[in-house]
Amino acid sequence: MDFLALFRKIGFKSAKFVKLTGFKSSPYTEGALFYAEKPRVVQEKDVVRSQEDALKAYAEFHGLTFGPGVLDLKTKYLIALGASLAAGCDP
Amino acid sequence: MTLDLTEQEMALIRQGIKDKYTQVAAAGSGCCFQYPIGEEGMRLQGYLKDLIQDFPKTVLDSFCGVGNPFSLGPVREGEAVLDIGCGAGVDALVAAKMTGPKGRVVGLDVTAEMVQRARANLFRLPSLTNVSFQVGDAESLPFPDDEFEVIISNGAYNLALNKEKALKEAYRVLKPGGRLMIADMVLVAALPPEQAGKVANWYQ
Repeated sequence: MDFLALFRKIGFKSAKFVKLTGFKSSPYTEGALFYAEKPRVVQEKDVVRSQEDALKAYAEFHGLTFGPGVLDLKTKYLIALGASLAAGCDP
Repeated sequence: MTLDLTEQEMALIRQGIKDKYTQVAAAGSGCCFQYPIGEEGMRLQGYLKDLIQDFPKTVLDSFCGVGNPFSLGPVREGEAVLDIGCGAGVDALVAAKMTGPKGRVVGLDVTAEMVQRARANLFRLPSLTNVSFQVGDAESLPFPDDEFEVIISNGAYNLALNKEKALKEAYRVLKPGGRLMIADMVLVAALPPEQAGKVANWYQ
């Protein structure tokens, strides 16, 4: 019976035969050590990490938009609120 | 390797496994195996002395594994561990020491007498409060999905009739990122034809 083939078929990763254990239970059989892992689910923080540059650029854009300028902060927020309502943004 | 077994053959094998390990549980492992087990077996397989130094000899001598699953990696503090085919429970008790009071260990075995033996061994180690044992089948694990950080098994999967089903179950109850650490028997030489009888040889 091939543990490694089964592991891969089922979806385990990092599956490996590590070594024989020296326990010879008969002239034909021996103990063996196998290791495998269930893959991690991709989590939000993994997505965030992979999008770090884009998110950094967006944060900078956001900061500059709402930073000091010709319009005051209250006016900028009201414009932003109006735009989001018109676009139908879901909070 | 695929084996075509009739329903009758499978039933015979299942009963044979239960009968054999019931006998082992009652008589002690020395009755039925040809290889070093017990305290000597644990020493040969490199079980860490400081983990088992307070285990009574009677507990150590009930060990009949084919390797040391913990040599594949430690159990970390606080982890939930499942031992599939736990037998008299020695590996589960070692895991309980490693995971500590914040973790927990469940030992599962298809033979009721082995579970009783494991509970008796646990009774001899009153400091361990994070272990439990129950009867159950590797092919149909009585646990929810994504339950355990670690699954260990020592000499049990070779007895399973449907290994793919049993390993799928292990996958199901492991948490994402969880680890499977198995010691089991493999064929290292071809069986001579007269020994290749499927039923009698299944759990020899």
